[in-house]
Amino acid sequence: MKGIKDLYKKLFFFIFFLGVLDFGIGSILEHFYFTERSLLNESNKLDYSLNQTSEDILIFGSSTAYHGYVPKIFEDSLNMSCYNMGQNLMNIFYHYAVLNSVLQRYTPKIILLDLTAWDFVKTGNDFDILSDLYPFYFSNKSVREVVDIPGWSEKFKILSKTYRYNGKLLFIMKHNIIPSNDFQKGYLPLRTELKEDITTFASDGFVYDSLKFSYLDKFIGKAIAAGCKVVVVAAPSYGIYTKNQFSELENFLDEINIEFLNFRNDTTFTNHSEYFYDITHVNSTGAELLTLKVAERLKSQL
Amino acid sequence: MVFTSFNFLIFFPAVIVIYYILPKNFRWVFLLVASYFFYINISPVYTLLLAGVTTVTYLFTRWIEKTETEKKKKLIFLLGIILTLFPLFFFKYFDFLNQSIFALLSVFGLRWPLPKLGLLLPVGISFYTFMALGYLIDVYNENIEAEKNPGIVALFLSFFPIVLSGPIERAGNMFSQFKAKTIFNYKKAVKGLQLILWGYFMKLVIADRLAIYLSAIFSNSEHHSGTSLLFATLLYPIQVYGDLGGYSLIAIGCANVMGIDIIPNFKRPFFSTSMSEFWRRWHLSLITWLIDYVYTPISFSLRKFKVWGIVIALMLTFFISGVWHGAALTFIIWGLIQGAVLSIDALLRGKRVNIENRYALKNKWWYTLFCCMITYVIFAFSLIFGGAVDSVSKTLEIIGKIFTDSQSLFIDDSTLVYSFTGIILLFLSDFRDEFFPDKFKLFENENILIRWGAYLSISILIILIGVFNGGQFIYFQF
Repeated sequence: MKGIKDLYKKLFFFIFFLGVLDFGIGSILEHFYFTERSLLNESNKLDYSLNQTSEDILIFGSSTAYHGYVPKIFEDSLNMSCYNMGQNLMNIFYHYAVLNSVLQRYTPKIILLDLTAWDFVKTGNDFDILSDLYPFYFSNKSVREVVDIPGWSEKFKILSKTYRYNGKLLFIMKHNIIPSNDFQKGYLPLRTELKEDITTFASDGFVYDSLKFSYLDKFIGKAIAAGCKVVVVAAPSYGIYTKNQFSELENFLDEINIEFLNFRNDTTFTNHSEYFYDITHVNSTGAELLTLKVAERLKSQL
Repeated sequence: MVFTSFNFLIFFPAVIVIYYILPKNFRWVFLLVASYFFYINISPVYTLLLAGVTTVTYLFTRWIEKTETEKKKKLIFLLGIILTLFPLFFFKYFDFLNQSIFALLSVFGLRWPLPKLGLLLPVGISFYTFMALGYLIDVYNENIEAEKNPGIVALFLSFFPIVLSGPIERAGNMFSQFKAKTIFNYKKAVKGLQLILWGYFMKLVIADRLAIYLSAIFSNSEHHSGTSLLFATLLYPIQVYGDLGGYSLIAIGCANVMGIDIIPNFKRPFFSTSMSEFWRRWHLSLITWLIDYVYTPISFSLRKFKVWGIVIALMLTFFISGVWHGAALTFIIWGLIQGAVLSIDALLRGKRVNIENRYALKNKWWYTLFCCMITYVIFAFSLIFGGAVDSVSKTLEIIGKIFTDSQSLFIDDSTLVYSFTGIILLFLSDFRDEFFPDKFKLFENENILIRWGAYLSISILIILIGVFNGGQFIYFQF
């Protein structure tokens, strides 16, 4: 009868073959993630943001930034180069890693940080979403710093080459087959208009997560220390908020003398569904208007 | 530490290595220590509660056995039941009852509020309490003898593969296995590892991936169309199956590796052709527990009412099942829906069988498929009450929207593609097990290349499209 030693031996071989397969599949995914065709669009954005930017104005934020600010408008009105670093679903940990990486190469003139609730409210997947950074874990120290925040186990998981591309298979296939043509210096316009009645949100203020808030503090501190002008923006949303959810953030930014442009309840946008793609994102028309407003404000200060 | 945590991937192999190194006499002691270590890692304070329930169970079963007069025995038994149930009632139902009674009295102008406790539910309490109750009842009914070794009772109630979410085991099945000086069984250990692998696939690739899509819809139901809500409603049973089914397989697999057999929890539930058959395939350990300790005694005492006695017993049994699942009106309604559907099933069974025989429907594939689909849809709709959302008003709003709002479907392409990859594989596997159990074998194939190819493919799929650091197991909240 077979004994436990047989089982251990087979488990060893299983782990060995799994390791080989993992390395092989991971290498193929890595190749296609970083191919030229793939680099023409979204997956390049992260590589470009971390390793190649040289623009004067950098826009940080999640999807509200990604679809909300048109670099060309900033470039035309301020006569400076601009790149939109916004990435869907990302939070302050991600922004911090990217900023850190940028500052190791050069100092941009203006940092525009678009904040949403996810940047200072605790959610169940605060660190899962950082998986977008996994392909850069071993090549970028700033990435390692934030990916390692949840604990030691991530260091081991990421040894798997395939795991670094977990959930990205479709993304890699899509971008290698159909590159996006609508990508404009990091900005991706949303073309449709929202057709929905405005909603009133009577929710209370946010409960701030101390860890996220400390990274927001570190983000701003690093940028200022490097000599960048920092402007924080809250993008408009198609809804009426009965309470100012950003009051604590406003006080904090006020204390450290950072300008906060809060468009959340700006009447230029609210009640105008033609400026929105959905309740939290402006469409291309809304993005142009929002960028113009921010650019005007920046111009008056320069 | 939960099954999906990285710590468990270190803990479990370490347990296995030490378990088989130790002399057979000490293995149960080591398992007890490992089980408490496992539970302490999840809930340090509530470990005392687990130890308390264990102490009560041990003392009262011994006391019942030593008592000779029937009346005294019954009193001790009832006291044991009350004491065993007290923590569950206190942590799970106090706030719900408090609020419900307050709301009821307020209607009559009586306002005597008690403070809301807002306590966190100790994880696994519903499971180990039911195991303790089953043991107490079995000893009282003299189905088994009270265990003299308190360590074995403690291990039964804290056994790490099953303490958090079952399967709800029976003392009669477990005591003898813990005490037996089992030798290493290669086939059983391999079978256990296969179950663990498939369990992780069900949990990480199907349940947790679907959870991303479904929670986006159910937690923002007001912003989603009826079409999206209908689609989510139809997918939710698969998420629960992947979640609890996956957990159960990992639990059974872990126990198998240690040479211990655990009762199965699922038997390809979506191939059921009626709701009564469905409940013989879904969450079996809970249902058999309820049948043995609730349904059978009630239906026996109501036997003079014939079929209506069965109806009352079914309604009461599933009412308790609903209450067990959660201290909320939604779960009670869910339980009552199951009871009502099963009662209708029982009342119409004779007619259905006549029709099926007259037209030889049972041999027709399209009839089987139709019945499976109807059963699935009934269960899926009932599950809107059974955990998909947390209030009756929201549930009714969702059902209303499903029938009135047919706008476009919310698509999250990558989540849906990955989820359906898993779902298709799961259904193919269940289909094979249901209709061709001896064909198209993968994990059990005699050809080593096919067998190892299957192990490695499933492992790579888990790494590639599984959701790591995902949500907890759904049944932890129960």
